[in-house]
Amino acid sequence: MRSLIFILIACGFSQTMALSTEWKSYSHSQAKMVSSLNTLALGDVAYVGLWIKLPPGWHSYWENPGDSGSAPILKWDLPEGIEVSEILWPTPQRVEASGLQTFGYSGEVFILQKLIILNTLELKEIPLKLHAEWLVCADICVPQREDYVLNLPIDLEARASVMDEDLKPYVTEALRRLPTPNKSISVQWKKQEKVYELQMRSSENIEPVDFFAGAGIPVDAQKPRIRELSEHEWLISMDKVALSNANLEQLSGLLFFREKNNDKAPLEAHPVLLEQPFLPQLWQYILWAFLGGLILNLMPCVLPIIMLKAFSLLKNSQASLSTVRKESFLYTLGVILSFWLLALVIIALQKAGHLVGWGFQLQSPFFNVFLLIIFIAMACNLLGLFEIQVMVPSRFQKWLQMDGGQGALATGFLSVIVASPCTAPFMGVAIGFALSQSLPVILAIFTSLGVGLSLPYLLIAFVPQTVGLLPKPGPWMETFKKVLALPLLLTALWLGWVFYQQVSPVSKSVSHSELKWLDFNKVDIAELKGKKAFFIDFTAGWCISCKVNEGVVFNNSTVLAELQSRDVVLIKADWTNYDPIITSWLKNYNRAGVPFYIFFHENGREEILPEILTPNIFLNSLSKINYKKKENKK
Amino acid sequence: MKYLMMVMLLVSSTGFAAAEVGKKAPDFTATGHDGKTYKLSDFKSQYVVLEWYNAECPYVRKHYDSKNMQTLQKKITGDKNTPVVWFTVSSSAEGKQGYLTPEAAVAQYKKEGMNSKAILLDAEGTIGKAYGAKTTPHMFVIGPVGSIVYAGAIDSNSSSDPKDIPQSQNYVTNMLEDIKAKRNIATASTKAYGCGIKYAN
Repeated sequence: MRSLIFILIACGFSQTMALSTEWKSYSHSQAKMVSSLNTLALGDVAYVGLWIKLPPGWHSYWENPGDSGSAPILKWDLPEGIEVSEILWPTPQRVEASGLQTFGYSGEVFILQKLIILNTLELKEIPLKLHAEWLVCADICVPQREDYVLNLPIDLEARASVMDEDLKPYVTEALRRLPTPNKSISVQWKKQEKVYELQMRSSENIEPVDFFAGAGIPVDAQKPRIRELSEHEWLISMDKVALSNANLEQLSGLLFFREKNNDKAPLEAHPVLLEQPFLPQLWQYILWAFLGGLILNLMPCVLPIIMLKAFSLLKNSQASLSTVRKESFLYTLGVILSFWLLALVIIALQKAGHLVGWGFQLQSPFFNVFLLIIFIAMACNLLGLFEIQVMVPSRFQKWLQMDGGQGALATGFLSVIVASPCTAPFMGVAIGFALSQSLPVILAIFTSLGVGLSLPYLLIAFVPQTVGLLPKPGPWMETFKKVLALPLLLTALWLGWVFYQQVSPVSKSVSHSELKWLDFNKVDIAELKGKKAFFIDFTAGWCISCKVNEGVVFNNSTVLAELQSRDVVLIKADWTNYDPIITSWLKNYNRAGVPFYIFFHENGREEILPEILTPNIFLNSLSKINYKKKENKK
Repeated sequence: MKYLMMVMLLVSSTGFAAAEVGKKAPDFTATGHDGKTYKLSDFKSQYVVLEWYNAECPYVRKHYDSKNMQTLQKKITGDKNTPVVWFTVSSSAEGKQGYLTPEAAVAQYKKEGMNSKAILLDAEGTIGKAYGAKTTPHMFVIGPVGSIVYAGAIDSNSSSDPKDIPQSQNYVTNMLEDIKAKRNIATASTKAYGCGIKYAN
């Protein structure tokens, strides 16, 4: 196959009727050089290039051939003043062979370029000399080469170019089938440490299916992971590869899409050419952190603290405004300092090589016992048991009573330590981002989070009218104080339960509701991916928000009925104790904590659900999953 | 053990692990066409070149028929100041293009006039997949401390035409020149070109 046959194209000298060379058979393809025009009138556009026919089972390649193969090479020798455009690559297909992914063509393909006339220098015809090399592969690969010559006459008098009638339908069709932008699609591009992320939005009823990166883009040729962010928004992620001469400032390629929920709909390609990667600005993360902190006040985790805070506010409502302000301020300070402390400890642990995430403090049974003691002590104090003043030094007692400046500071600390392990909406993304940043950025984001969490109390302090809305203190408060001990005791009970779960070896598989949950660490996720639909619940015993979500969703009768009938595997990733695999999974989704919910659909598409889960949200995702196939009864 | 395919790999990965520049090169033990056993970690403190080979691939032919590969093997392994060991690796599965029995490998080594240490027989594709080798010729260079210092194509011209060789930048030579001159390696990762490796299905 190595023998090269150079042919001088006879027709090039005389014939101008059909402006293409004759079909010629090569070892594993047929090809000819073509020009869309027979005669060129100046100002018109001619397309020139190669028409290749491939035998069944053989293919040639796109600009990025993928894992192996080689793109066709067209080298032109043209007179001065005449140039050709880049190749107008037709839409390729994904071709897989022995685990290698390639992008190419089968059947027939036109490799066309636009002829650019800068200056004809009064030529009567343009000699088009082309050296072409195209690789064709089936199981084996064979390069084909040829040197072609065509002379394209220029008619200086003619008003219109003469289109080659024989070629016309083919060339028109080939040009029509070039990838064209879909107006409803907008894309943004992000570079992560190990992945390229393409965010696609479309107002139409379409969904992304695949992405082929253009030549020189340093991403793997494997099929990308596609995750549904919302009804009209998707995230397409591709693994980055090392490439020295890569084009790092650009993302080009073809985004394939089709009609939503219709696997039989034809694929269409949307060309993508993005210059600068899209980076959410720091202020956006800071804003998210602020919102997350604010919403955290509504998360079940924070309930016991709110109770305490409410009580201290009531007590203070008669105090001078300056005292209220001072305490709110100290509470905020306590919150912010605690966030900083937590962040710094996490960073230190990570630097020391530990992969830890948000909420790590509650993964330690000893820390939980410590907290448990504090909560019991606080409850005792509210119940008036310390009024005997025997067991506790008075300094510490003041602290426990949540009185004065120290008390406010301490409440702030407790809020963060107990409440923050659960991540609220917005918060997960912000923390996930923060922990991979430099110290000033980390502190900025955590400060914002703290301000968000403390905002309601700051508001009360700085908008005096709100104090008037609170009930007047009176003797009833003594009773109320005792009632408040209940949530504290419940918190202590809960911490005890978490502790029990952590130290007892069998308790890990305790499952909520009557559903069958598989243990994340015993499931081969790679094996399931793309074959079956599955749902992973990243949860922890100490995450009250997780428990509330689970209670609400997985005890809902509609959800239970749907789960029984749909073909979906339920997986529980229990993060109660430290677990490096779960931590690294969360990290892959740029999260640092739980709750985190993700659906993997049968086609491999990923869908992340919000941190506040409702039966409706869950059912909406579940409805995309097929029903179980009826088993044949024998 | 009729087949000498005792390729034992210390790496447990079965999929395509990509051996990236800067990462530790997966260790392996493989049998050469000469019947000898070669273990990568025995070549510490030397540079090791791995060259993926398939006798019938036109891109391999480009470099062997032009004697480019043999000359390069000789030149690179012949420098006494910088010891380099070169292995040619054959990962074509049985029944696929380029598959080599031990006997055929002996004949092929001689016929090509190879100057590599040996053809490593990897018909199971274990070494190939551990390195993420995708094409023939795909080149990897492993540094003296066992990490990968080059991965990718042999040169800058992805054509199959031997006439293009003189105008091409040979990445392996360039990279070793950079090392000898104690410069930063200008081009350490490139996209390998050529035929897909004919792994078992």
